[in-house]
Amino acid sequence: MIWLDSVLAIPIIGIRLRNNYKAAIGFESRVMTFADTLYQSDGDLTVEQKGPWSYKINSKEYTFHINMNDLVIKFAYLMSDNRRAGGFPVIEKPEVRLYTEIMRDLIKHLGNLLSVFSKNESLCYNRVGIMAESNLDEDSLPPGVIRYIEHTGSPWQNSLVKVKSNVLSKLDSEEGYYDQCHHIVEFEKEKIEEKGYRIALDWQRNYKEARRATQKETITDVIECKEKAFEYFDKFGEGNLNYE
Amino acid sequence: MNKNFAFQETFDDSSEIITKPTNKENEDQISQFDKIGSPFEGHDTKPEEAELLDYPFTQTLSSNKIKEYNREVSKKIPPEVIEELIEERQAIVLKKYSEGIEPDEERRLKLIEWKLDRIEDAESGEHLDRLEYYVKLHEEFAEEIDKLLELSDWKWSYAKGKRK
Repeated sequence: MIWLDSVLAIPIIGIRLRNNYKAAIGFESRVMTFADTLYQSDGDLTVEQKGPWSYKINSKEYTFHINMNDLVIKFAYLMSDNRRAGGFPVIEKPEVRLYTEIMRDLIKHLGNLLSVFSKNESLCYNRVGIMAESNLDEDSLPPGVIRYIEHTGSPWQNSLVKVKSNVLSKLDSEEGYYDQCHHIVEFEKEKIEEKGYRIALDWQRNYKEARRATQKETITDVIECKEKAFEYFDKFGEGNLNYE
Repeated sequence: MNKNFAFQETFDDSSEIITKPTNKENEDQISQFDKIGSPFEGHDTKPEEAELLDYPFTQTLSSNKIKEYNREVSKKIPPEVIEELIEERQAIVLKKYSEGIEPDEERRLKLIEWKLDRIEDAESGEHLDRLEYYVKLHEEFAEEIDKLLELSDWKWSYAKGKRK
């Protein structure tokens, strides 16, 4: 169990596509095929064209950003407003879920998306991204995040007033790829009660050679990346980075 | 991510800090949050028919709300996972007192204890918060009474002095 399961954390998953104009052939019909499949399973959705070969599809809790550069799926909690005749609307809170459980669903959705797009032989990807975002209060900060913030503030004896930082660092490098992670921390000491701490981790694997976006192989890569990202997220939560 | 981030500080290979604009030229160094926005900022568009509203995440949450949601999440952790955590903690603690542990294991132990604390907080934290609130109310009331007594003492001695 990773530490993100102990707090209200939200996952995002994405793959970056290699620029390839041949992949534009039949792009729109594939988006619509996917939208239709999604409509059959999830019900109401909106499809918005954001530009040439760029779409945004919103289903109940998921948003799909589909364009020539990226396939990204993000999750958001939504609360429904049930209106009753002659009465006040009743706002229903959604059921909160574990981060890892939502991530499993996102991978499933990515598989469905790829089943439509992988028929295009020109579609290749060169990056996989596994993200986590959380809003934490003072009491729920894991020891590693406290250590990271203290490390950031050490040149000023930890008298930090406001932090808005994004540190990108390379992690591992192998023959065919390298891993990196964005560490995003934002907070205002005087507004902790109102806003809390915003902590986001964006782990990415960059492949040196673009890979064909076939459903099976891509999902295998994504699952491998997810495992590696989770391992790193927990290492960050433990405070087991090299701070000395 | 935050759309207000016009510039980001990023590290290159040699860990030198560079400030770069977030554009397509440095695609490798852009977080996905920059491109699509944070989920805590909510959806831009919603399915009209479903009458959905943004969850409170259009803005960041208050500490009290975070605490409430975190407790709800922790309640979802399956019992077998809690068992695994307890076993892992026991194994590290046993090792600690028999042969000693490395600093990284010590930090792992701290994170496991933090996870177990979250689970315990989800079970009883609400009651403890309520208790803490009543204790605080009680203390405030006691302070008020003290102040009142001091004031009445002063008035009484003042009145007595005047009579003399």
